[in-house]
Amino acid sequence: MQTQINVFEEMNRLIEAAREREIFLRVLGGLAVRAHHKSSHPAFAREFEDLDFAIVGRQRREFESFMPQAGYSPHKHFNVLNGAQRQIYYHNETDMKVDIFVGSFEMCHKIPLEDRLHIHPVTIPPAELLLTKAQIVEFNRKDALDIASLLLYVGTGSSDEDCINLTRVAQLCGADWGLYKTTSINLGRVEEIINGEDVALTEPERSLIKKRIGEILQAFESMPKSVQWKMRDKVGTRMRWYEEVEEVAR
Amino acid sequence: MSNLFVRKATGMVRSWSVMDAFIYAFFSINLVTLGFYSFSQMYYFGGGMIPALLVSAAFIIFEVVVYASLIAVMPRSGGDYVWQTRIFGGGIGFILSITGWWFTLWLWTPIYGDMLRQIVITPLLGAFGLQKAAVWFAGQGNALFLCSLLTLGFVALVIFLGMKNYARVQKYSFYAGMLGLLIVIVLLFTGSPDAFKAGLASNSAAYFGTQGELYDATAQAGVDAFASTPLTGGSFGLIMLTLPYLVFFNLWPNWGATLYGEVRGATDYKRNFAGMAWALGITTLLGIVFFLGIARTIGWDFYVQANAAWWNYAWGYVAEAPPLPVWPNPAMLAVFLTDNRLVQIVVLLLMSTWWFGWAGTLFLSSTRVIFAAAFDRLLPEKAAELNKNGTPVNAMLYMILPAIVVAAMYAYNVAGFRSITLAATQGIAIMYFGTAIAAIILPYKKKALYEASPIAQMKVLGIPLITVAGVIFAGFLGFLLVEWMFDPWLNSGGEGAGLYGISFKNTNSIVFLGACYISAAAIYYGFKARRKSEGIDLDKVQAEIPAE
Repeated sequence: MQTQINVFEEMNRLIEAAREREIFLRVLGGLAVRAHHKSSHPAFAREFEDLDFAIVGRQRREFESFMPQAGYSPHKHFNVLNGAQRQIYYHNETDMKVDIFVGSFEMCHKIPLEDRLHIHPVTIPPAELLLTKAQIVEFNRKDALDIASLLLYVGTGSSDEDCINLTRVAQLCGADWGLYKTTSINLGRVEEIINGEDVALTEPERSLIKKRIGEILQAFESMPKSVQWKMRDKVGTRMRWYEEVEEVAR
Repeated sequence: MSNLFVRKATGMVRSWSVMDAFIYAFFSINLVTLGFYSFSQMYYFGGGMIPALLVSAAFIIFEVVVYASLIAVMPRSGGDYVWQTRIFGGGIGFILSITGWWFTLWLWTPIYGDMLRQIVITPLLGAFGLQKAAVWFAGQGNALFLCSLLTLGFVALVIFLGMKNYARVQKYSFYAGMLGLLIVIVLLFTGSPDAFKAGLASNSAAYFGTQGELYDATAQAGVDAFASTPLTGGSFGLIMLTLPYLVFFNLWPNWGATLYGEVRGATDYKRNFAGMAWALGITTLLGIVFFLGIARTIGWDFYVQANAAWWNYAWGYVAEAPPLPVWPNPAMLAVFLTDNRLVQIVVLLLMSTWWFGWAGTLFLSSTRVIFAAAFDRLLPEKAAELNKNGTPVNAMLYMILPAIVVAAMYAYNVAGFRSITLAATQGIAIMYFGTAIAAIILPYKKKALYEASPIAQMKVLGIPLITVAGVIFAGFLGFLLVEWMFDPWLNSGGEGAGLYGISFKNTNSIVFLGACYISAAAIYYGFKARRKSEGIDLDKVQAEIPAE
């Protein structure tokens, strides 16, 4: 519990310190989902060990000079070779690792973030946050519960104002069949997992989450699809549709 | 098996795909730039070019096995530098790899520049009717120096763009270049010798202002220059003697090895092997098809004679320019089979993408070696710093500034400097020899690392495959090194410059390589002493495998 609170406090400290320097620093991952919780919920209690942030590519240099002042040391070797897309820093006193995504989130699928980090004061926008979780091909229970908690606490709508912007979700998935496919599969898995008796959700909560999943899938049905997208859909999963993610250290 | 993310912490997708790495390897043994260029210089050999291609590929496949294995065990930016220093020690590893990947690349700059003008600038200027400019760019001195500077400018741009963007440049160049080559091959296989003779005369007149009959005059100039290399045939011994020259073209499918720290799935031996092996195989096949096309339409004898006539002049054996006053670019000769100027320009433009897709290889791989040495503190840390645009300016300056000096010496043939062209291959081959030795001993010297690696089960009669391949590859390199060093005494009774021109008899070559090794040693021991005074033991640093 002490570690979790410390990580959460550190997240806020860094975001606030960056804001004073007019640097857009926004958290993603499990902590970002946690930041959207209106209250603590027994179904979603978990530990957090490190921090993942996104920054704007244009502000990369300001950010690189900011982090040492904030008490972090860069992984020099890694950042020289990969710094245009990813950076790693370590807290000087605790060695806690901070991962930085520069301009976009790239894992199994790529989610652009460059012009979107002004929308929410702490996290990446809820629409992109949902997709960063839903794009994981090797999806596990923790990921499913993160999505479930996000859908429980954040509604869906057609704007970025305090909700998951379905227009944005459809735009990104309409432009990337692979992202659409992985997201669709995983939303189905989320439904399966929350239906399990081992997840401490009430029936109204389950219904609300499923309703919002349904709204997302409906957005997929009605989103415009290019010829290229439709042709890729015909090929389907016979051809690999995602990037293979590797360990940072090999 | 690739080291797929096992969800312990945030994973990553590296910037280059396996396809990107394949294209880099394919461009590194570049048929149109390095291939056409070195084939054209090999006009005086006795071994057939087709068997030479096949025999050399048979040896170089062991190079691919060695490097694919090393990458799978230790996929690190810096490649040879990391493997050699971590497997058999800092001093030798640093000296060989810094000389191979940093200093020797300065000498490649005017060679790339020469290909820029011969393959891209001169033919296109001629096609656009700018005759005087076309011929000027084919000349010596200022033209070559200017093209070397243009090369450096383009390479600096490539590094500024970064790996991801350069991968795009490569990809587009690959598809455009392959389309151009396909058209060239179709022209060669559908044309006729008579059509070529007529097209040569009329188009050369339009491009370069030549007058009179060109075909027979060029052929005669080639005969006078002792053109002899056959398309096929020759004894095995004569074929082997072509290899120390031919490897100027095809020793490089592993050129991207220093970049594999940034390639996805690099711990997967099969992927690493496939990328480099396909590049070697496809290029070898295309080379053979190209030779057969040349033989069919242009005529093999004329091709060799035209090359002999050009290089006899370019190397200073005769003072008068040959009847065809430019390098006989095979793509240009092929487009002379049509009188449609638009088709000629389009094909020449497509073929020029072979140069642009390739030119980034001049310094891109080298920057990773400089970074690796800087991270080891054997170079100033500033060598690995990026400026506010994310460009490794200092590393680039370490490459570009000396390259300008070397390019000037080459372009103006200061003290016969141009005679050491093949040293550009030799310096790197010596480094490869070090890596081959490192590969041979890896399973024994770094037993735990090897046995935990993806290649641990790959054995031949109980001996690690990497060791077996390393022995064969080292043997091949040993043959090349002996031939280069003792060439006149082995091949021409001690007389003249020999077949390759970079033996102990060539003082320039020995001085250049010697200066490189002495400088590398001075840097190594100098920094080692300095770091020791700062309390840093570099032997311990280099005993650790660098973290990714």
